[in-house]
Amino acid sequence: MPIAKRTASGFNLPHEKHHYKILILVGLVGLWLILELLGYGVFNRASQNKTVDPPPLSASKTKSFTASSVMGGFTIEIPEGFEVEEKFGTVIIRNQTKQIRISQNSTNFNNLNDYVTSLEELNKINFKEESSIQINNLPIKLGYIENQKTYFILFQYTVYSLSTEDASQYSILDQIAHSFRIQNNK
Amino acid sequence: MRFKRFIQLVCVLTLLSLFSSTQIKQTLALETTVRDYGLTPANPYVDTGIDVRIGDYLTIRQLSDTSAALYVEGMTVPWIATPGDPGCVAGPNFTLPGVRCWSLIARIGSSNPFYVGFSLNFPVLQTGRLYLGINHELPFIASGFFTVRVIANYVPPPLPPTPFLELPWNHQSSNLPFDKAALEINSYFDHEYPLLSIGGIEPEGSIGVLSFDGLKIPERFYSSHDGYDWGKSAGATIGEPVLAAASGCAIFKNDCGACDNAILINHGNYYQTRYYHLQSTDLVINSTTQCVNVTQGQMIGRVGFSGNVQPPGESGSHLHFMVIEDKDRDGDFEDNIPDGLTDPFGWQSEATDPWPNYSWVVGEDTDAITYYGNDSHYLWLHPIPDLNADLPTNGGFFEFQNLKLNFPQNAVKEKTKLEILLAPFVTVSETLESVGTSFIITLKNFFNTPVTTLDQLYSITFDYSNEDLSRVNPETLTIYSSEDGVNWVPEITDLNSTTKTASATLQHLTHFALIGERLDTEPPVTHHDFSQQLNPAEQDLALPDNNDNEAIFPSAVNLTMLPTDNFSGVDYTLYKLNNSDWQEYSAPLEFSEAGTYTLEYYSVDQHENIEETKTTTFEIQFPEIIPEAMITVNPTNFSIQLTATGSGELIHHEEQLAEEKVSHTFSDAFNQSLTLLTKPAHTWLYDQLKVEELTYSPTLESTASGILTVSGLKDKKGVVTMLTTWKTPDYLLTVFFERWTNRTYVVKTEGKQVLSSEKLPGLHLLVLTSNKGIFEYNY
Repeated sequence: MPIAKRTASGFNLPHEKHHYKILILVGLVGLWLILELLGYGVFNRASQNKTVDPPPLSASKTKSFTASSVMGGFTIEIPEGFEVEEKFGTVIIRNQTKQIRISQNSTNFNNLNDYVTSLEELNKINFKEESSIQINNLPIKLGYIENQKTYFILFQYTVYSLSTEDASQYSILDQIAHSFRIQNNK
Repeated sequence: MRFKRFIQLVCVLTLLSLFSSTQIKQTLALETTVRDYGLTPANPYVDTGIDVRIGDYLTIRQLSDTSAALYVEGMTVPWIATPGDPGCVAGPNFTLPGVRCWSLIARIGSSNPFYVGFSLNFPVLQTGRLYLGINHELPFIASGFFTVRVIANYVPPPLPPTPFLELPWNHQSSNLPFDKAALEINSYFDHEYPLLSIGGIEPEGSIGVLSFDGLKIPERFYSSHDGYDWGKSAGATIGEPVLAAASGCAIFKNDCGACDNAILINHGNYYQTRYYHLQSTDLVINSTTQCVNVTQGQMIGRVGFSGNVQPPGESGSHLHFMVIEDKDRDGDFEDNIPDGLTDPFGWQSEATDPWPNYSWVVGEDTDAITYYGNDSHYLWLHPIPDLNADLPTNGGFFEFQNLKLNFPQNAVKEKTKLEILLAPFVTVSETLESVGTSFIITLKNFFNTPVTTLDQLYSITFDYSNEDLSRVNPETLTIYSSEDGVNWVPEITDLNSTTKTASATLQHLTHFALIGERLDTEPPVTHHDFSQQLNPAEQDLALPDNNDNEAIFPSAVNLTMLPTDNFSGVDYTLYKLNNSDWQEYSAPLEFSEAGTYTLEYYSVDQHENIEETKTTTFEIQFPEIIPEAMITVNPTNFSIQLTATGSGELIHHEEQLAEEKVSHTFSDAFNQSLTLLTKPAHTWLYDQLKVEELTYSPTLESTASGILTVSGLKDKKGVVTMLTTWKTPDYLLTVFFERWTNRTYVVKTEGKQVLSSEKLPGLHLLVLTSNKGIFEYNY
């Protein structure tokens, strides 16, 4: 409660010493920043990830591709002008020299965080700009291996990787990944 | 004299015979010819100078990976090696039309047909001079070169090994056929390079795995791996019996930390198979020195997690399986690690397998030994999809997945290679689509020349008993063929609804699919519906029709998508807002900010019928007047009162929070609101209200905060003194009244500095009002 002191000309108001309060506030903010920086990379992979909106999908004309039972019978929508070939457990989606690949890799990991960590370690790669999303309730990791944009989709101990090194195909890759569907009758 | 003549005659005859035999030897001499030729755009066609004969064995191959760098403007690949450009079919002006452009071609004799291909290995069927060339068009404008090696000799290369392996676990018990189980691979054999056993470091740039299909995939498990891992997905789960892939003599090994419990089987054909990470129980043998005979399919252990597994522990249980060839045939397989390592899936690519040509040196100086990697051959007893199979002149029957092909005798003139490729699900038109996957069937002769028309009719049969027919009318099933994958032609089809098969008798080979008429050709229909977020008090406003295009709403709105489909049901709905990315609709959309919105949307049903995209545009315009706070002081009891002003009647919601804080929210009919976070304090000495935060909806930036305090004295005549202070982070405002002078003193300070000072007659009361995020005062 401020107390005014009367003077000849009126009232002198008390000096409010705010400095120590400002110092405490600044100190608390600084401590929070330090804790945030220390916390980044220390916790598990899950804390570094965020949920982002699903990738874009255009309404251009598409055709369906259904993989064989060898690859789990997944379906995808492919834009016109692209051809598809499945061979030895890999699907190649091709338009002249442009190429998108879908390969499968079985795994004993039950989550993509550990799967990607192990992959980075064993293959000496860096999966960068990593994010976690969901498409049709499937857990998905999105990121880059050098300039190869890659989606990892985990379904019943099989990881499907959808990827392309061609930057001009990134948006097509997004479209195809978003249309990925697979059922439990694998 | 006679004796002399006899001796002379004998000598002459002997000389004659020697000469003759020498001549014969010269004619039929075992001669190995190895020559290299450089083919360039300036010199695309060479006379090798080699005369080959019937019975010779000829090898023609690219000299090495660094010897081919031929480039033609317009190529679909950066450089061409021997196979030619896969994206270009030679036209009529090429040396050899109909095959790949810029491929290696060969001819024996000046008038015989050309042979085309790569890595040619074949017994010569005619006599003549060997010519080599590049299949090019005139004028041949290109740059670069490639070098070819020709080896002509009587000694053919050794035959590849006969397949002899089964998968080393009972995959059928998991309802997995061979082709599916075999390809449920956790970790692949890395053809560049399988050096894991020796901890070898791969060359720079060798990331990921180069698998048997010739694909280099950086995200495939895992680099340097020297065998195959199978785990849960393949049915090789913890405790699952591990079976001998082939008969042989089995021995135990556990001197490798990463491998731990292992069984090794010598199969007696210079091949050994190894099985790692086994459990310590139920091993067929525990001796590391004495082996025991096992038969194919006999249990030799159980899948475990001993040694190095990922993830660690039980959940990482898997079977590591590897195959080693005793290259030096000394009976010792250990001295052939890693150079004897081989991939049981073979090498299934047209490109060169780098592993056999990879070399490293062990030792120094005179002790230095150069080692090379190993060839890989397909060793499984059963095929996986897309493997080549031989079709001889006496015909053959082939079964692959649900497809059966029956070729009669003399369907082909010579032994050919049959290849069946899985191809995409086909949509012929809006009303016709395929049942299951389609197939591309090709035949090539020994020189990789395609054979598209046969000499006899053959039969093709689709078995659709296990196919999903829910999307088509089964009575309309017909076999279609296509030369280009786009235009489809129906074949005369014999449909058997009892055996659930569709057959045709044809003479050509191309892309085939089993097609039926679609039952559902109607796309879904999506409507949208707006609901406004209004307070019930506001009822007099004329609200626009919810479904009008270009509607204008005075409040926040929710938009609900309502898709319907008459047949197969809606699969998903997508929307795009104001040219942002397309997103999948899952819940009503909320719009709480003022502005114009353009929404595009469409739905897709379970049978992939796609609705035409719809567009709707609407606007949200909030009334300009938003709720603002007003704080006054009451001289009657020296209390603080908090109210608000805005558009029409406001609803006040008060909520007690932790730490004695109180939240006051004032909302108008258009869901605009102002929330003050306050901390009141009431004592006998003073009344105080601390305003910590102002929050507007729609969002408006606000930095307003402060502490208002009022106290005073009064008697029967009224207020004697009254002190009101308003302290903000920037200033302190003091309003002091005393009846003795009947003046109100108003002083504004910042720290020690006096910003303003006034003396006003009478009692003046401080009034605070918020205005778009800041507090203004009056008195």
